[in-house]
Amino acid sequence: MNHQASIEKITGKPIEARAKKSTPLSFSRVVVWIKRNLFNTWLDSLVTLAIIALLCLLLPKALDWLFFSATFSGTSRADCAPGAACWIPIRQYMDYYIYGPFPESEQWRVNSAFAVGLFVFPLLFSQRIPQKWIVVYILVLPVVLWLLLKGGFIFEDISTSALGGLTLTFFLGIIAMCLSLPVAILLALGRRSQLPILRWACIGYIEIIRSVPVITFLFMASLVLQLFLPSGVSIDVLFRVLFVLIFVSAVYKAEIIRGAIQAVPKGQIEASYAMGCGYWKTMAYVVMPQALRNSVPALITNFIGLFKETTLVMILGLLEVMGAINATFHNAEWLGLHAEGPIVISAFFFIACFSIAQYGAHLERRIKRTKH
Amino acid sequence: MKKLIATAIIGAGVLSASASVYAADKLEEVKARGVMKCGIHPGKAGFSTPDTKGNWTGLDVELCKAVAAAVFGDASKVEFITMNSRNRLTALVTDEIDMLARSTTFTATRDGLNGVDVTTPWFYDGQALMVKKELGVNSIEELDGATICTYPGTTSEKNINDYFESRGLSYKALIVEGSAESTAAYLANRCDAVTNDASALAADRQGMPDPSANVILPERISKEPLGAYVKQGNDEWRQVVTWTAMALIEAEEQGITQSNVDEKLKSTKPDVMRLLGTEGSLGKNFGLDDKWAYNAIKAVGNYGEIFDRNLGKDSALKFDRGLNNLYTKGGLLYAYPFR
Repeated sequence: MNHQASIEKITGKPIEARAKKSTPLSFSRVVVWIKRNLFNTWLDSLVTLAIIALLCLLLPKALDWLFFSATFSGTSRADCAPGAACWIPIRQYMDYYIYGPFPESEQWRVNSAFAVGLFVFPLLFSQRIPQKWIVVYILVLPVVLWLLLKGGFIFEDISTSALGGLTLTFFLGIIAMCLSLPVAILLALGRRSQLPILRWACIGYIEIIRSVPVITFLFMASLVLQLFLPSGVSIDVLFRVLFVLIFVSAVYKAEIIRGAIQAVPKGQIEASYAMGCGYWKTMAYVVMPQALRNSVPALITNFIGLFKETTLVMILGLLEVMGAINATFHNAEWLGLHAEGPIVISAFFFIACFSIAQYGAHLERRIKRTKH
Repeated sequence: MKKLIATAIIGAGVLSASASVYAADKLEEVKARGVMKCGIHPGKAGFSTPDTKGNWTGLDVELCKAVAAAVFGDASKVEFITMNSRNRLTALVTDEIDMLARSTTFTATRDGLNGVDVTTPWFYDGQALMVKKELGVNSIEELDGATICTYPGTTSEKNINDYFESRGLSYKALIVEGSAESTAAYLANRCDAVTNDASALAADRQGMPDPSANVILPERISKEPLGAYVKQGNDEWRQVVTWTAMALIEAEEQGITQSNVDEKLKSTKPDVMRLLGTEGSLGKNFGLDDKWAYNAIKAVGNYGEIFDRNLGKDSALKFDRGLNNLYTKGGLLYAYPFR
């Protein structure tokens, strides 16, 4: 009841009224809504009219360029209609955008990797599966992805230069996300540790990494690191990139988790100690479950950032989805199509990131439900 | 600061390069590995672009394939690694790639300072000017008083200035940020001519609504010899890359093509016989099979064929051969004798 009262205080509406969604839509209600929300004062009306005018001016042109006059089917540049988008190259290169130069006979491995990464995730978060398995999944997923996409064990080795497009984006994004989480938890705990040396080491690491742009580390991994190694020894560029992504994004996650740990009431920790639980037990069973739950929104935001940051690996010569799309538009046949590539890249990242965000929102709702 | 870092990197590169002089030659290393790693551009029209299956094509790419064919007898034994303009030379020094065929200009600084060696020019590029055909202009001399689109702070602006000044010509510069913007300004008739490297102009032209309405003037106002680089101190490997490129140029001079190379094996002309390995042992001297040049020609064709396919008359770019023609036809391609 207390909770409901506080919501009413904030929104100024009784909570029952907000929940009532099934009232039939009548014309008069719509008019009232429009009047109240769009034409309340003369300034409101002016802004509304201006926006409508702008939309009327731009939207038909944009839609016409994107869809109605655009060319979808054909084989060559000559088939493209002038003055509108030409989606032929996107269709032609779609396989390349998804699989990159991955060997054709092995593409089932990419498909399996997508399946394992995307469809098992939501399944695992259904209420019936214990949280222990989620932890196992997060730790096993990178290994499975590595085996499927890079090879090893029973799978044939795939050269790094054969990884590209969406496959590479997905590979880097998921592995960096999964592996940076445990590193982040350890860093967060380390920063709150009672041992001064450990604490100062963690603070130093976090503050230094946090204050330097990711691109600098990628450059170092690409240019400087190799020069310090003895001749003949080289680290696969994929390892170097993953290393940077994991250990940089872990820093941001560590700070998110630290905040969440600090929000766990001190009394609970003291109570846990009083009951005879040691440090690790207290952390694992009392603090972390609550802290991680509370940090879901921020962690999801962090993951979206990390996912987009994977495009930076282009500077190391790895062609993830953005690099792959850019490369194809340099093909002599498709020169001069400047807008199509960026539009497709934006659309792809919007769909991917929006889905992640929606999934995060779903998680939050579920967590809220289980709390009451 | 940037300079300091660059110096440190180059210094470290030189150190590690000199350290590896005593190591086995790159040629042996490549042979033992069974695949050659070639650094290429991540997307440059005519030079290296992916096809719909993700296979790389282009003038630079075919040089890599030719070297793989010369070494292994199989043009598919090459791995393409895309490089950006910052890490391309370091990648050679650190053995991440065996050769770099990424439209990199041969300059004294790069050859002398960076722990890398030049091979032989593979494409003679250079700054050029493009005008609309309707102007009826055939040379830069006729552009006195014209407005030229260029972008700021680059050597291209200085080159134009020097060229016009030394000939007593006047021009008006319209400085536009970036190459795409300068093309757009040219298309909007804000200037009479647009300047860039000839290969880039050809790509820009192909992207215009009516490519054939524009001509690239024949003069080159800067020297941009592009070609493959290798790591310094690998003399045998440098010879292999250099002479494979020359073999493809020589093949054009001798009239050997991808389709007639098998017939030419029966030729009794000494030059052809030595090139194709039916007489003498030029291949052995390089540590290769005597059929090395045959294998390279069989895999990718002679230089003229490669050029026409990727940049020239059989491609969308329709680039004139100009300087990239045999010396007997007014170009600069001149293979050393195969004897």
